[in-house]
Amino acid sequence: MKTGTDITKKLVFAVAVAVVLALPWMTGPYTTQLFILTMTYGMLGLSFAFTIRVGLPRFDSAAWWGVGAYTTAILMTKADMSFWLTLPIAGIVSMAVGFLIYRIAIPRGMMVFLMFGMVIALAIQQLFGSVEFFGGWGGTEVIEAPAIGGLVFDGKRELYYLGLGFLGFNLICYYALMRSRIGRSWNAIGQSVKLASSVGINVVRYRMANVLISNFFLALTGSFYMAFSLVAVPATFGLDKSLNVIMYVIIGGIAYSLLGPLVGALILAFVPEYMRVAAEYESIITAVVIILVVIFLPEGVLGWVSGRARPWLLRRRPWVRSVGSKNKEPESG
Amino acid sequence: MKKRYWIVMALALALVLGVLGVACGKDEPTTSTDAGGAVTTAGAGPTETLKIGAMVSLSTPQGLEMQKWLTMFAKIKNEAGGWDIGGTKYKLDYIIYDSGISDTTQTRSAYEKAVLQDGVKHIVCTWTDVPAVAVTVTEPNEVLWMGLDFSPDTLKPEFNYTIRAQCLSFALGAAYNMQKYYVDKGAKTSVICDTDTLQSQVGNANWAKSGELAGLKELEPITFPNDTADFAPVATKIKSLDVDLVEFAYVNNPDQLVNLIRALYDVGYDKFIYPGLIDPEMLANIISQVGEEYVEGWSGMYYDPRGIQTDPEMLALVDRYEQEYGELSQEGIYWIGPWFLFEEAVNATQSIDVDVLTEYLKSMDHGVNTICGYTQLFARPDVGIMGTVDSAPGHYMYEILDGQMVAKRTVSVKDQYLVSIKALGVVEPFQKYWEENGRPTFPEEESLFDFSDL
Amino acid sequence: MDLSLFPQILLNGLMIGGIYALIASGFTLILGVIQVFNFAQGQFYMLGAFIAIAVVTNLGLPYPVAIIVALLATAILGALLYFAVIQWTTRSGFFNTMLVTVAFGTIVAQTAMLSFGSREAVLPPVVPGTLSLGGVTIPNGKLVVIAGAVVVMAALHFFMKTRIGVSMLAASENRDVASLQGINPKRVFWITMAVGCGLCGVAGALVAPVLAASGTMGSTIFIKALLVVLVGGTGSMSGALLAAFVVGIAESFAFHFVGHLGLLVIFVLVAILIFFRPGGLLGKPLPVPGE
Repeated sequence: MKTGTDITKKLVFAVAVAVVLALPWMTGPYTTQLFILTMTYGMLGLSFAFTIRVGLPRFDSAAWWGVGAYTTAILMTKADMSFWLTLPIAGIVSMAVGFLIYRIAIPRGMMVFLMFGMVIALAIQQLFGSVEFFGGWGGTEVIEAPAIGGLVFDGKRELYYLGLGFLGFNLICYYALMRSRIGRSWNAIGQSVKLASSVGINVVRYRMANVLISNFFLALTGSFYMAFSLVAVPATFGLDKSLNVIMYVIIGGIAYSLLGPLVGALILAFVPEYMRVAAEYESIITAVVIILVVIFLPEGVLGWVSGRARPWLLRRRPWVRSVGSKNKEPESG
Repeated sequence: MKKRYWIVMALALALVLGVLGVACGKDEPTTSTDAGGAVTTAGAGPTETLKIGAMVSLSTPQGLEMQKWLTMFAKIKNEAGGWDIGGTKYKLDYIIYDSGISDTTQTRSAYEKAVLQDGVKHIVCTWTDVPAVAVTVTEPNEVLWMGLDFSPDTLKPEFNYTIRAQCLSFALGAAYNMQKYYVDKGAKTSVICDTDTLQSQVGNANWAKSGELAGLKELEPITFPNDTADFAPVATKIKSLDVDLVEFAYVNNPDQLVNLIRALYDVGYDKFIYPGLIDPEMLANIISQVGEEYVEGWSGMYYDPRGIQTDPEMLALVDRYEQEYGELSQEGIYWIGPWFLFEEAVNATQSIDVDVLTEYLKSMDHGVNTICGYTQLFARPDVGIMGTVDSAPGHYMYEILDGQMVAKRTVSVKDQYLVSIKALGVVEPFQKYWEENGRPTFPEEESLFDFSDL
Repeated sequence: MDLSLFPQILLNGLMIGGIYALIASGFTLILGVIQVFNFAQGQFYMLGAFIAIAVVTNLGLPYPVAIIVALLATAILGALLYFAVIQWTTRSGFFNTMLVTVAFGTIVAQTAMLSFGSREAVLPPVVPGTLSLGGVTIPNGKLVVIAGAVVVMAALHFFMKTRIGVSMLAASENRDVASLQGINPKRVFWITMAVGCGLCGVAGALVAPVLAASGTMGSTIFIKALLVVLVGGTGSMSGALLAAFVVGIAESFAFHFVGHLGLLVIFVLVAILIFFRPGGLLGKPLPVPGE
C-alpha cells in the first residue's frame, strides 16, 4: 500500500509541477498576468495564514505589502539602486518599523493586535497619500524592470517565473519554519496560549518573531509587486485589500496554511475577471459568491475538496481533521 | 495522512490550473478590425466590428454616468447602420471595464483584458484609473490612449500613442474667469478648500497661481481628509481666516459640497463662495439648507449645455440621453469629452489605424465641439513635447440669480491655454514654440485673456 | 492661536461626537455580545438616513415618525441579516462571519451607488437657526442631534436593564454560563443584531436634517466608528460614549492645527492610548477565543 501511494503521489506531484511550469505557454499574456496576480495575492495570504498559526490575525497585510512596494520604488528612483538590492532592504525596513509598532500590540493579545492592524492599515495609506515625499495620491513609479545580466523581467512569462521564484522561496521558508523547533512552539501557542506559556514558551517573543517574519515576506511581495506593476499608488494598499487577503485564506481553507491561500487567491483573482461582463454588478455578484462560499463551505474550498475526495481516494484510513476551528492545529506542512 | 493530503491537493491544483488554462486558451486578440479597414462593399448592415475601450470605475457616480453616455454613443452609431469609416460600415462595440478607484492592480487587469484579450486598439475615455499603469499597457501594444490624467505621469516625449484628451494642464482659464468674476465683485483675499485627493494635490497650487493672476491674495489652501463626516471644524477654520472668497476648487462629492456650504452658513460666514460644480438639483438642496439669499450672486462651473450650447447636434445628444436614462446628471458628462475628439479624428482621416489617428491628433490645429464646449489639443514645449497631445477642455459658467442657475457664458479655449501658460510660469518655451510654428488658432469664443497679457 | 476659537473648536468636536457615539455603540454592542465584527455597520447608518429622508419627502410624514420608521426598518434588516447569513457562519469562526459582513456591506454600498448615484439627499433643517453664546455658534440642528443621541443612549441604558438586556450582557460575559441559566442564545443574538443595526439606523435618521446623505457616507463614518471603539474599548457602552466625544474633539483640534494630516495624528494618539490602556478608556480586554 505504501509504495502504491508513493508512486501515485510522485506522479501527481510531477504532473502538477509540470502544469505550473508550462502555464505561461498554455495561455496568453492576459491569463498569465492573472496567474501572476494569483501568486501575489497568494503570498499575501500565506503571510496571514502564517501569523494565524500563533493566533494573531493581521488586518494590516496590505499596509506592509505597500511598505515593501514603496521602499523598492523609492530606493530605485531616488537612490538609483538595483531591484535586487532593494529586496532585503524592503524586508528589513518592514521588520524594523513593524518591530517598533508590534512591541506595543503583541503583548496585549489578539484583539488589540487585530484592531491595531486596522489603525496601521489606515495610517500607512494616509501617510503614503498625504506626504509629498511618497509621491502623494498619484503614487510613485519605477521605470526599469528588474534584470539579471541579459535577462530582463519585462515580459509576462519572465515575470511569471520570477513570481514562481518568489512564491517558491516563500513556501520553502514557511514550510521549513513550520517544521522546525520554533514552528512547533508556534503551533503550541496557536493551540492554547495558556498551555504554551505553562510549558515555558515565551509567548510574546515567539509571536513577535512570527509576525516579523511575516512582515518580511509581505514586504518582499511588495517588491515583487513593483516588478510587474511599476507604479505604487496608496489606494492599492488600503484596508479593503487587507480584508481581501483574509478572504483568500478563508475561501481557500484556513486550516491549510500553505495551499489554502493559494487556492483562495486563484479563485478570487479569476472570478471577478470572468465577471467583468457583469460590469457594475460585478462587485455585487462576487460578494454574493463569497457569502455563499462562507456559508456552505465553512472550511473553505480545500476543506470541501478533501471531504469529497475521501470516499474514493482516501477511504482506507479515517481522515482526522480539525473541524471548523481556526486556532486548532492546522493540517499541513 | 500527510501524503494523502498532498495527493489530493496536488491533483486538485493540477486539475484547476489545467481547466483554467484550457478555458482561457490562447487569448490572442480576436480583433476583426484590421488596420486600415479594407474597403468592402458598403452593404446595408455593418460588416465589421470596431471595439473601443473605456476604463472607468463602476463604483463611482461619474463612472456609471460615463458608462451610460458611451453605451448610448455606440447605440446611436449602430442604429444608423454602423459607423461609416473609409467606406466600411463598422458596428461599434464600446467595451467598458471597471478600472477601480486609483487601484494599480485593477487598472492593469482591466487594460490587459481589453488590450491583450479583447483586441481593443483604442482606449477612449477613462476615469479614476492609474494612467501611469495604463501607458505601460497601451504604449508597447500600440494602442491609442485618449484618457484623463490629473498627474503629469503621461507627459513624456517618448510616448507615441498617448493623447491627454482630458487633464488639468490647460484648465486654469476656467479658474481665472471665476476668480475675475469675484474680484470684480470686490473680493480681495481668498482661500482654496479641497478634499485631500490627487486632483487637489496637483491642482491647488496652480489654482492659487491663477488667483494671484486675477488679483486675489491667496492664502495657504485648506485640505480636509476624504472621510470627513462633519464639516464644522473646516468651516470654523475658514471663518477664522477672515477671507472674502472660499474656493471649492476640486470638491467632487456633492454631499461634501452641500455639507461644507451648510457648515459655513452655520458658523456665520457671509462672504463669497465659489461652489465649484453644482447642478440645479443640488442648488435646490443647498437652498433648502441655507436659503436663497445666501447663494445669491455666486458663480461657478457647470456642464449642462442647454441654454448655452448652440450646436443642435450636441443638444440632440442631451435630448436622446434624457429619453434613454431620464434626467441629465452632471457627473459624467464632462469626462466623455475625449469621445468627440476621437470621433472627429476618425471622421477626418476616415481611418481607424492607430498610427493615422495619432498623427492626425498630434498635429491638430482646431478645437472640437463637445457637449461641454470646445476642447482643443495643444503642444507642450515646456516638457519637450511638440505634438499636440495635451488638452484645454471647455467649461460653462453659471451665475446664481434669484435662486436659479443662469447660464452665463463659455470659458474659452484661449483663456484656458493662455492663462495656464502664464500662471505656470512657462511663457518662454511657448514663445519660442510660437515663433517656430506660429500661434495656434482658437475657436470663436469670448475671452478675457490675450497674448498681450502674457 | 486665537484663544476665542478654542470653545468653538471644542463644541465642534462635541457635536461630531454625538454622531459617532450612536454608531460606535451599536458596533460595540454587536462585537461584545455576539462577537461579530460588523463591517456593514456604516451601511446601516446610510440606509437610516435615506429611509428617514424618503419618509419625510416622499410620504410627507413628520420627522419623528421618520426616525421611528428608520429604526424599525434597519432593525428588521439587521435581524434578517442574522437569520439569513450570520447564524450559519458564527459557528465556523470569527473571520468567516467578519467576511460575510464585509461582503454584505459591499452589496449594500454598490446597490446604493447604482440607485442613488452621487445624488445627495437632504432634509430641510428641522430646527433652523443657530444659538450664539459669547462668540460660539451652535446650530440648533446639531443640538437636536446631541439631544437625540442622549435620549437614544438613555433608552439603550434602560433596555440593557430589562430581562433581554440582561441576557445580552450575560451572553457577552460568558456564553456557556448564560445558556446554562436558560437563556436562549439564538434569541439573544438576533435581538442584539437588531438593536445594534437599529442604533445605526437611528444615527442616520438623526443626522439627516444636519448632513446631506450620500451613498458613500456609510464607508467614511465606519472608520471613525472603528477609532471610537478602539479608544472606548470593545464591548463597553459607556466607553464608546466617552470615546466618541474624545475622538470627536481630538479630530476637531487636529484638523484645526495640522490640517488633513490630522488623521495621522489621531492614529498615533490612538496607538499610544492602546499602549497604555489595552482595553481602551473604560473597557476591559475581552476574553478572546483561544487565549
